[in-house]
Amino acid sequence: MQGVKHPLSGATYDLVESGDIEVCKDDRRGRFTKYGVWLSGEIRHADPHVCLWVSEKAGVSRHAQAANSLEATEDQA
Amino acid sequence: MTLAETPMTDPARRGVQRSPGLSYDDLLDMDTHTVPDVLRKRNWHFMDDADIPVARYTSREFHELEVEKVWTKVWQMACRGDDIPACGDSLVYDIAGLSILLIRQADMTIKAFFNVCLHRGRQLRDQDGNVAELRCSFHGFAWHNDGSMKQVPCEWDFPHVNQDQWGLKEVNVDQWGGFVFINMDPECESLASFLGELPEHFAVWELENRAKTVHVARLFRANWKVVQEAFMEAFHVVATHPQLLEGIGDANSQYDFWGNFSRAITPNGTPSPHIKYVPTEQQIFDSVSDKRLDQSSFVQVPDGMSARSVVGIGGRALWRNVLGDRVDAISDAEFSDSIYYTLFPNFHPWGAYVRIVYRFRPCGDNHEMSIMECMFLSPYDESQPKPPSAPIHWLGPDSDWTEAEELGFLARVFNQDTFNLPKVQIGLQTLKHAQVGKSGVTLANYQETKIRHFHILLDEWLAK
Repeated sequence: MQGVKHPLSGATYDLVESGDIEVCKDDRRGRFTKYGVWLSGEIRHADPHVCLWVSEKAGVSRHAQAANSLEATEDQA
Repeated sequence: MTLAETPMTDPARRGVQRSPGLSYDDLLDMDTHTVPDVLRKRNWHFMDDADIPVARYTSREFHELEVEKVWTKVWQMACRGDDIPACGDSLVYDIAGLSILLIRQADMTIKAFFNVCLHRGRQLRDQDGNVAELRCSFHGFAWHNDGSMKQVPCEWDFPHVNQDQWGLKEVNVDQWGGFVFINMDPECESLASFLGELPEHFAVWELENRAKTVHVARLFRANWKVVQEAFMEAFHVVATHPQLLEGIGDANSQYDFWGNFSRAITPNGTPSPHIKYVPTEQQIFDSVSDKRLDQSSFVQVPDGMSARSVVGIGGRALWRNVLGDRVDAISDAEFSDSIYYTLFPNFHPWGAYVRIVYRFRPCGDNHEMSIMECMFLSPYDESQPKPPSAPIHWLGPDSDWTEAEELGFLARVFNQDTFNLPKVQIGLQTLKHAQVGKSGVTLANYQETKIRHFHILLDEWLAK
């Protein structure tokens, strides 16, 4: 599970075990490929860029790295 | 009538509109540290709003014009000096079907030559590496590393070759910021003149004192300018990288240009004006740190603090081991923001501590294929030996950027850009025939300043 909430539409995008992307909004759901091609469900359209974003293993952003360094510094203190 | 009262279509107002939301100057004023003067430098004026002709991206003839008028005439970044650190180290720099050989000399200067055997025209070197001589693999003609003739095989058969005049043809070389630039035009202006104020902009970030720790190159099925221009503005973030919007001031980016270079600064740790709610500072920080729905926040933003100031604190903690107490003088902006320069025609060094450098160029002599390179220039502990320069990790046109694990988070951002780019090339071919009443690509007056500036410079070079 590495879902995100779309800041514009409010829908949640999540990677499911099959490798597909599940999009949910207001109790409606849809399944899509990583490129946003509709597979099944009531929701028929998804943002392909956000599908792609959640389809891949999350890396560590530079700001998350910095946050980890900050925590390490606080631990040492 | 004041400017604010004039109609939007009035020529006097072209380009003066700005997005709602905090300006970059507003954010600099809120920084917890003194920001370097360079971040407050401004130079913008309206340039033009004419469409960019599609043929610039699709025409073979236009590509050949670029080769004749630009690539064979302009200063261009060939490598880092650290890529060829030792005497005899050589590097092949290929550009638009032309090949240049750079080689470190005994006196540690760098020379560059047209990379061609003067006998039958084979590319003299086709790989990088340390060499004691420059010997053609075809018939064995050889030159010393300084370009002077060393050996003509079966010399008795070449009485017509004057070896004193058979030195390799030199190409201009100069360096700035640890980068080696070449220029094939014997009549070219100096590199210093070409760079103009650029070194002054980078004085505070000392790129010459950095190590190239990552170098990834990927092929694209698109004209080199199609790819390059996707990395010259933040306007595309709302559609291509919408997951970033809670923590990026995309439409509040600052754009400027000077001489042969331009700059965009996209603030991070501030929300996009495109979103219709006001995120908390915690939400902003969670966004820039890519926190997922099922994860806890990486850091709790204390009451009364901004996400940008927490990014600054984190940046200082991250870099303290390398930069020592110098981090205490570095602003939040320098740890937060994307500060991306473009030196005409294809060199994109970033300021501050995001560490990125891009280069874009045609792939061989093919105007519909290109190479995008991403390097990281990292500060390093100067009490230790400088880390060796990273070799190029090549990716094909169908590769996933995440194959280059060394890019980390950025690989997935690039995958989103890559989803668009070959389709832009296809679309441009279509646009030529679409009869939609326009003959080119339409640019935003402000947010696509860097692209406009590039094309104006390109016009100037083509007219020379």
